[in-house]
Amino acid sequence: MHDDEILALYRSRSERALQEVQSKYGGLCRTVAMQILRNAEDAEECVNDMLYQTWNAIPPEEPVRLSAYCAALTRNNALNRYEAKKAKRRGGGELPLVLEELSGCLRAEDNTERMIDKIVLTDTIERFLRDESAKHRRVFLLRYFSMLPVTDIAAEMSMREGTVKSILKRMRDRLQVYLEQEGLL
Amino acid sequence: MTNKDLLDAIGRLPQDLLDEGLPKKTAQAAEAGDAPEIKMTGQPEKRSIRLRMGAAVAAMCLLLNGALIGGLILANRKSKENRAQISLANELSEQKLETPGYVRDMQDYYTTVTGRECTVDFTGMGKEFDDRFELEDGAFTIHLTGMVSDGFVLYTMFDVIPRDASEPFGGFNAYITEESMLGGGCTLLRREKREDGAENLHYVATHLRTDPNHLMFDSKSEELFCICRNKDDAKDNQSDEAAKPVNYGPVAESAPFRLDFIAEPEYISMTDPDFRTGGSVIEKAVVTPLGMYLYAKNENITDSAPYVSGLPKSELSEENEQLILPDGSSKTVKWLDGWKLNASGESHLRMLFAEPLGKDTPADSVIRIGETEIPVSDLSRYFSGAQPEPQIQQADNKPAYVKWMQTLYDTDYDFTGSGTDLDITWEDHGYRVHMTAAAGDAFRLYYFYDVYPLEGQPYDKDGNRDEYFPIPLFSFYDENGENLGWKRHTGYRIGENPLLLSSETVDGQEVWHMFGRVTDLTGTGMHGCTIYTCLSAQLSGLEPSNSEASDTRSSAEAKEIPNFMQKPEFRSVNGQALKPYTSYAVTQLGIVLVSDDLGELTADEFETMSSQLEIEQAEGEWQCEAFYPGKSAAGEPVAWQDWALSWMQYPVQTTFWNLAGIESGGVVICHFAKPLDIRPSINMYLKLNGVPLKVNNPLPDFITSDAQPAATEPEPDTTTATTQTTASSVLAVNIRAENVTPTGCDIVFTNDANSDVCFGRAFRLLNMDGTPLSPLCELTFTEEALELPAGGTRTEHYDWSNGYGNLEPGSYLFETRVGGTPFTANFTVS
Repeated sequence: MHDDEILALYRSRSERALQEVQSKYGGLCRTVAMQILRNAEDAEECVNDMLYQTWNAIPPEEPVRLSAYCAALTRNNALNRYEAKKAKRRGGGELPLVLEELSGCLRAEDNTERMIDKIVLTDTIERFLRDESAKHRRVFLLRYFSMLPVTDIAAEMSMREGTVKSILKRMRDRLQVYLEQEGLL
Repeated sequence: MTNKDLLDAIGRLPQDLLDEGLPKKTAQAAEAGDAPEIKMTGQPEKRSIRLRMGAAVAAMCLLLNGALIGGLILANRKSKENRAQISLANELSEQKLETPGYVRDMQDYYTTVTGRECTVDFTGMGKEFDDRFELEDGAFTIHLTGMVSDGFVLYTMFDVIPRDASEPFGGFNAYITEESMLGGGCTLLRREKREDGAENLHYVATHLRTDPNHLMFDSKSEELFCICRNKDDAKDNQSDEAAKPVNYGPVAESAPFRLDFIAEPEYISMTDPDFRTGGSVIEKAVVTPLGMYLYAKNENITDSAPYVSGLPKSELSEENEQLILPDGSSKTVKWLDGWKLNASGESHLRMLFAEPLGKDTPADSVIRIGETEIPVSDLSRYFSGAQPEPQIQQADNKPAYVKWMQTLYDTDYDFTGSGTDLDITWEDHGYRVHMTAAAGDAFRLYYFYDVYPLEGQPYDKDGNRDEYFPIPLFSFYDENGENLGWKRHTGYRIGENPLLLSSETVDGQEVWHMFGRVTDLTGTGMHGCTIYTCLSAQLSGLEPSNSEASDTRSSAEAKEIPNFMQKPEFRSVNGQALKPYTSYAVTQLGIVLVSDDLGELTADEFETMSSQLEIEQAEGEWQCEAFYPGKSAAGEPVAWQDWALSWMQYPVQTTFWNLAGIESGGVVICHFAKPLDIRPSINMYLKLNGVPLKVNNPLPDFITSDAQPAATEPEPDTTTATTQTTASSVLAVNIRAENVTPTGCDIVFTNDANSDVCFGRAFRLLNMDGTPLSPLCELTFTEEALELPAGGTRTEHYDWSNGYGNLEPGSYLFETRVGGTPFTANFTVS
């Protein structure tokens, strides 16, 4: 079923919309959640939460890309769930690695957090990514949005792992400079 | 701004951008209505490994009273295309050096390790460094001087230069970021006393490659070294952040370097697929100038489990398993003389470290091994620690739990009465799980179950387990009938990882014999608790996320295990001398020391307890010794639970592998010992402040087996100074007083037993008050195996000039271990 048809089901408040999203994007969203949580049960609950959220949000929301919309919701759920469980267990999944990698882009200044509007940060990152090549942008997002392991990104992009790592390293460096130039660091 | 903010910001990017970041293959499959099944790989995620290592490393350092952790961060890989060219360039550059420092260090290292002068030219196998790193407060400077590797073990030489004598160097270990690297420890090579009283220490640290798919020769490092002081105590290592060194040194300033001196190894294919050692299938081997490495794939081990858990017991029976090859080739035998087997990393790699013979030797050895007429599989009998796979046998009508407990403990001890047989079976689409028995004492319950993979072993292309099998789950009911829930009760520790006991093929069907354990942490025992079993349907572990859900997901076939556990008999300890312990109990399986509140200990009390409390061995029955953590950098006792956790993960690194210590919240300490020949009149001693306190006959009344003979051995005398001290009537260690010199002595070993004994040369020297002498160098013995046949005697000369130099006149204690039995003997240097 096409996304437009699914959205029409949402607008008509047909619960079949949830079944269609589950069928079409459930696997994708579970993959995203699994990269963060490494727990099938938790990932499934994130997907279920995502379905509930879409039911409450559409309408009035009109997602441009339903796949990305669902994945973003699931990812956010997974991040929150990860934070909640963090104190109870010793982490896992790709999130700790991703956070560690990104640490080089930021300076841990206490007052920075108060100064930065998160929306500005999002806009800045968007501009940064749009200036990058499509290939690099995709590698970056596969890593830091979908949180795929480097090996999976290499398979997805038909690249060598070393190339993926190199691209990520250079992009992190450039992002840091970019954020500094924008006055965000 | 935090990293989380950055991630959140990325998550709020426009959907057209995010769409680019979705995994296309998964998306395509999903759009085709064929959403892929999420598979649990069974492989511990990278971070998980690192966290465990981080916590373990921290705990190990804390165990060594360590306040300082030095770290190496090795990362990334270099392109293979440039390897040959770079290696050649590096080799040419190395030729310009007359004798690189790393060559001298490696020669010193092997000379002291083997006891024979090593003249191997290591030129070209390493690289000189002259980098210095300093802690933020300047307390220590680390001077990196060289690195050497053969592609499997990375040797790093460095000096530790303290600012002054105020803060002793407490330990060094590595913080590894790559999952395929394992910190192999750090060895003191030499020490230099300074005029200000401080000591400069020169160390060699080793790091091991454990993943055959990621070899060192294909590596480089972009972010090199950091040093750090771990200011957190062990409990903080539970969190993600604490797994990373707390205070970095000048990491960013260190220049990238490449491990170009490492060459690609040449593998030997093992032609016989049945070649096994301790249940592990050897797939390939490689011989380098520094050792022999066997890649063993144990198909029955889940990668999710710590490697120690998955190893067959035979491989844990010795800290350093000795490999002795047949005498058909004198050169080969000579070259292998002194090898030791380290089970390193995860379950896939066994490493054999050898005395190097030079760069040209390995090829010769490769040919020699390849040309041997002996079927490779026959070599397995030369692994002294190798044991046949245990089989299920009911021939002598013993209950199954007796068999399994005997297998578990590797003993003939009759466990009758300490368990019950079970017959509970669950099955899902992939596995059938059959629980066969449970046994234990009031403080520890072992449960045994067989796993039948119905569709074969699901491994992915990387050799990792694709799924977990369902794990039996326990639910506890207290004495009042209240269900304590499926969640872990705070009073009990449930072993979280499936533990493989053995495997076999029955009628073409593979069977994994597994066991798990539940340990009481309350100090009151699990008696009176009714224990039910069910099967966890959750893929990732024992604990369902909530009790309601677990009841529906779990099998309805929960059954009660008959309560065979007996109430332990607690006895009060011998007055205040044993503070902080208030009572103790001894069962078939161990001794349990109970303390009301370890948190009330002062630092001095804690230190005293840490260093001097021990359980004396009586008559060799109890392989029992207490291990205690050290203090944190702030002088506070470390969290017991964390320390115990690390110990559980690395029992192979302890001398007494057969012990299991459980600590929780400073409440109770359990020591489980190998139940060999426990006798009703065993004499146990607790020694505090050097004074042995007899605990008389502590065995509780419920051990009434007539098969256990009464003991009549006299109590050990630990204070009488003699030149001969024996801890057993069948093994004896004598020092020839007339041959004692300031640098060595002759030791006579006598074996009056009916079986051969194989032991190593490890030893240490102590003052007469039991405090160890400070070694000049930790490399004081060779690792060669010494065989002592039944009824035989052999004399060995021990030279401690490398380790302790010339001893001052006086009396000392010599301590060594034969056949697992510790021996001490005193001697006098005149």
